[in-house]
Amino acid sequence: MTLGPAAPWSSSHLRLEVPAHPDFVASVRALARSAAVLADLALEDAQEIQMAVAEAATLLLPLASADAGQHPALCADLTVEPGSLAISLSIASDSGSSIDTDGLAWVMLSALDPGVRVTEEDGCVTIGLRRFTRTTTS
Amino acid sequence: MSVDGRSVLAVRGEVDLASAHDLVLAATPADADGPLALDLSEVTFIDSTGVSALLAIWREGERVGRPVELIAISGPVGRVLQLAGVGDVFGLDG
Repeated sequence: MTLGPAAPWSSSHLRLEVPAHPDFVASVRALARSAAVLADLALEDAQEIQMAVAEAATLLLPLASADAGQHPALCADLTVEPGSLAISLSIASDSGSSIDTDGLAWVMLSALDPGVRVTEEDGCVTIGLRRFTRTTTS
Repeated sequence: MSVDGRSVLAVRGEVDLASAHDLVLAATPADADGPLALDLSEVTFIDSTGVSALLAIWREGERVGRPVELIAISGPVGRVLQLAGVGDVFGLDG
């Protein structure tokens, strides 16, 4: 079987939900790297977005809500556009939970993405990242 | 492996939230003796938890009088150490 010309994407949104456990963070990183390639980001940008995802997960995993029972989840929502990639990582957390902004993970995350956004809403803490391609081609 | 009177621990793969603790355990055995070199040439990824592990190993070396050195630091690993602001600890600055 041969495939015809690639059709336009029907959606540019990807979602991955994994157990809120350190062993699964690599899966989220891998998806982020793949999405960065789809977005035509440079290799260095793809590496940095992977690092940013790792740091965001490091900040979120300790917040996993006890109410989530035995199966707390880390959710990754990615929006891929030509030349840009947006990633939101979120986790269900107990009321009043907040990320640790005094530690090394936050230092590195905010250095990798100075525009990082943290929101706490409806029992969920979300870290939003965005990366644009550094160069454009005609 | 021992080279030039120091133990060399080759670290491979990803040093992250899932593996950093294992690295600390491997590098700080109770019967450790003599200088330690961590060969990072085959580290493919490191994050802040990996950097924290390296710092923990270095601090433990300081505590017990066992010098710890990082060798064969790849570009990406060196960049992460600089980003974390700990390059000077491991002699990467200047």
